[in-house]
Amino acid sequence: MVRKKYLLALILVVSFTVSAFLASDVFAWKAIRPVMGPDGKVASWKDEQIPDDRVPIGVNEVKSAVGVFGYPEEKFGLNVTPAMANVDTTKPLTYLSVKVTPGDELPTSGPWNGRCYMQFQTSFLGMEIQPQKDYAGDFQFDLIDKEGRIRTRKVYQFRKGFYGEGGLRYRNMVYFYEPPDLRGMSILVWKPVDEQKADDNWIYLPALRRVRRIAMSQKMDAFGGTDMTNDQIDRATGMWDANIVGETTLYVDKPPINNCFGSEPHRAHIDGKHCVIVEMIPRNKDWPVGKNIIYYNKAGGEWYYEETYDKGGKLVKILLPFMAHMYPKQPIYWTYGDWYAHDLRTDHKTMMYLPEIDKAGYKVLDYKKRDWSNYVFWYDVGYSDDYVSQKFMMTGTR
Amino acid sequence: MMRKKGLIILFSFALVLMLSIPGWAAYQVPGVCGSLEIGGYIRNQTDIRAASPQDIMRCDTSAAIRFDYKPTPVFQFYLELRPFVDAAFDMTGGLRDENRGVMGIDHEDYAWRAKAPSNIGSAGTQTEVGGWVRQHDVLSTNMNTSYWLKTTFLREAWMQFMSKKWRVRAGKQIVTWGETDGLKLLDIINATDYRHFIIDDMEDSKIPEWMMNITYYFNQDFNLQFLWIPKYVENFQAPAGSAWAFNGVNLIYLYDHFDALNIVSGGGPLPAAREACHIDYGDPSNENEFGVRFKGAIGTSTDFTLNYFYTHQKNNVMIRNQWRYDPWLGPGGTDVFQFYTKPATQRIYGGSFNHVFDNILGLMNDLVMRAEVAYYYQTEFFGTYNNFDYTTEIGPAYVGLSPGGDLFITKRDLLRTCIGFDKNVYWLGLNWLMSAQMFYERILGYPDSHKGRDCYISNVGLTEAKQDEFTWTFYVNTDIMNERVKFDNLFVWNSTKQDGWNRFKVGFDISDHWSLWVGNNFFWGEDRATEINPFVGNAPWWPGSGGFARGPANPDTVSIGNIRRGDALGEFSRNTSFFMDLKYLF
Repeated sequence: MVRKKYLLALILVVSFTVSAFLASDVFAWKAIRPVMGPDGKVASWKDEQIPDDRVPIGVNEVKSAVGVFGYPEEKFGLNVTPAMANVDTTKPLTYLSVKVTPGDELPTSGPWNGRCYMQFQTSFLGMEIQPQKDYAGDFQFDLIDKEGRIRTRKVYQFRKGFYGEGGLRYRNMVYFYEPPDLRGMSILVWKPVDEQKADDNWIYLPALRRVRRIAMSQKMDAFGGTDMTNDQIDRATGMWDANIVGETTLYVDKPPINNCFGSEPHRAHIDGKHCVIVEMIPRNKDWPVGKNIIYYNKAGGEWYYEETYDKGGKLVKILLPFMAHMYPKQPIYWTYGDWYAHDLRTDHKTMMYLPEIDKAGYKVLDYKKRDWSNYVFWYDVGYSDDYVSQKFMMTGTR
Repeated sequence: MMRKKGLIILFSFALVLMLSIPGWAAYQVPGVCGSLEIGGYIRNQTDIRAASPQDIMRCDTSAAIRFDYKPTPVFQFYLELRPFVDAAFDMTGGLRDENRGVMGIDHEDYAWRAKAPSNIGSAGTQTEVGGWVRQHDVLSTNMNTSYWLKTTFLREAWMQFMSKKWRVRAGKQIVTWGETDGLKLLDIINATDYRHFIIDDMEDSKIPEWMMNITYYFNQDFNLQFLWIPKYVENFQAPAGSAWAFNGVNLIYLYDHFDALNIVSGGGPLPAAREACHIDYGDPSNENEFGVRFKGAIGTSTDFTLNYFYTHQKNNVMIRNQWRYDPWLGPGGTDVFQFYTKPATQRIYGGSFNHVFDNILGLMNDLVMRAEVAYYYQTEFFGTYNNFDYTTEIGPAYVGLSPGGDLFITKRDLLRTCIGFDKNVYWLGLNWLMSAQMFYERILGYPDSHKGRDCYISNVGLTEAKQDEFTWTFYVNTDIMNERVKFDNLFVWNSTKQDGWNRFKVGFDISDHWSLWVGNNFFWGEDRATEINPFVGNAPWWPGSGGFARGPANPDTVSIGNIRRGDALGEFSRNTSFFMDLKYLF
């Protein structure tokens, strides 16, 4: 027995030595930085070497991966027109891979209806925007109670569009690394093409050391203690009726927004936008929601503002889900901007955004200056499908 | 000792204070090749008996520190140290005698400073509660607190190699199999820590083991896992006399430490008593264990596994009647009754699956079904004779009887199954996770008789195991205030024996680093079934001895040897308790 123990110890020591040797030959990771021209557009690209601990897990297996620094000023990222983003809400929405429920077919002519807006929202949340292959990055959310006390969660996210391959629209993995008691927890969602089929959801809890399948009804549960539901993060389109019930121009200081919680640049971006109002009613009567009212940019399809009403018709939650175009290499990709959610019943708020300090401890963003020049985006690196599978849930942690 | 405890407390508080400063609570260590994360926690779990609050059943302070080093994407090294001290075991004014399992085991034998084997004299000595102790030898490694300390300090230590097709993890680690919650059918790769019975969290209840863990991935849906454990590890038992000690453990302690057969007190020589009251500790002839699991998926809604595990019975205390040299009678053999801890090998075949029902006949949406089957081939059980006459049938073998003669070992196949359902329900404006499981267990070829006598089967806790047993679990949790406050209730009920356990707890996230849980464990059921223990009672050790060498006059009136066979959960009804779990994580 003693010999067996020594054998195992020997294997450990040899492995450690080999990996230490390999580690000494770490790859020199590269990211490209946009050099802005006088017209405010990217004039050229500059190569820069970045430390290996700034490369997310998964991406660090792809030696050809190249990161892309953000714009030095946020405004560059926001000036993407619907035409540039290849979105035209006056014509049929044809390029999604979704197989809709019979009776919910998208219009074959004319402008978008309510379902088109909802499907498009799901599409850009799922990064299902050609030619995008994948995304890896981190984000954080602050949970702010009515006394102003803040709890923070930080996660890695892997998203990969499948565009119908294998019956999937996309896969999404969220892996928690802060706070310590959630570290290692991960949630995996596979979004099927057929919207009548439920998403496949799994959760890995380090306390159980087991991947566990969870039901779609958890769509109405709060995501990680936030004021957003899982459905708002990953909309189950087949579970909703969606109809346009009006149009309006949004102003941040007028109803319905009424100067609500939110950062000034993003409020300014919304201000004055003409929107369609879509009423969404859940088909599952067990869900604790009477309806959602969503304001979409009529021309560009962006999801600007959402209200949630309870079954008694009372407004209970509001959400400003800001999605930004801030990726200089391919400006049509949607990137998580700041999301603000407010539960009016409990006066609890959530702010979700990209972290100023990354997992390795580098300051990568300056929200006050709106400076993204030190933030590195990782799109289209071609990381393994393992990172959006149960395999990573089991092996990405202890 | 007090000085040591003081230092530990001082050190713990200093560490907490240090780590409370955000700058110290770093996860990622910069300047290291690859990534090195350091984290951990300091935790205190305190349990107080409901019926007598002065009984502190647990005051367990543990500190975990974890190092997770990934020099390259394909290699990972993980180290976790988890020293702990349970002050309840050191409190001389701790558990009241009547609340200890055996009601009066010498404190010296379960305290952290439990003595190494040392003979305390041929005549033995009186214990603090009146029992007669032969010697202070610790029972066996898995019942010895110092062994726990030594073993658990290095909680996990493994390295991992990952490639597209392979994952190889070598070292001390935890492996989880199966789909069930609470009770373990296939999830027995790692031995179980029963120091606190089954009330610990699943992760804490597992004892990491040295093993090689190799997985080959055919693709994302199908993989084959192979485990090799070079040396089996026994389950940790709560030490005799402590709050969560199994009756079987208490019984062995009694047998080993006291003049259980009353040979000495009846006038017989000590060597004979020692020979009769004897425990052998032996390793199995084959210490290896190995397991194979094939995992796959059918479509996207169903996952399944097929499992095989070559292992050992980890609750490894057994009995035997053996022909031994009898120093009392001189040359010639006699049949003496002994315990031994040499674990039997065991083969377990099984499988598990889960499936999501989007809709069941239009009646219910979104239901997760989990199921698991485990077939334990040739499991060793205690067989026990029914209607045993303890006044006439028990005694030394040379007169045709045997102490403990109502017990025998028998091998039977055991089928264990579980089916469970998980469902989210919205009620009172909250999202409730509800989970129900039904466990059905059957002992195949259950013996109605043995050697012409009626009998039944007992498990290691010396509680009667029925041929068919049903156990039900219901679990519910919810949260309010954006997961700041959590409610959690687990209900376990053995409908065959009518005993059960309910755990209710409330958790509060004080901050991102501090959490507090408080709750209650409530046990009910038969704690003193009618079967008499073979070692107690007004039993002469052989017929016609005229009162010479008899068992205690009345088991209910003596302070030692009062071990009765309650039901598995019912026997802990004395342990209904309130608990607190305070944790600082970094």
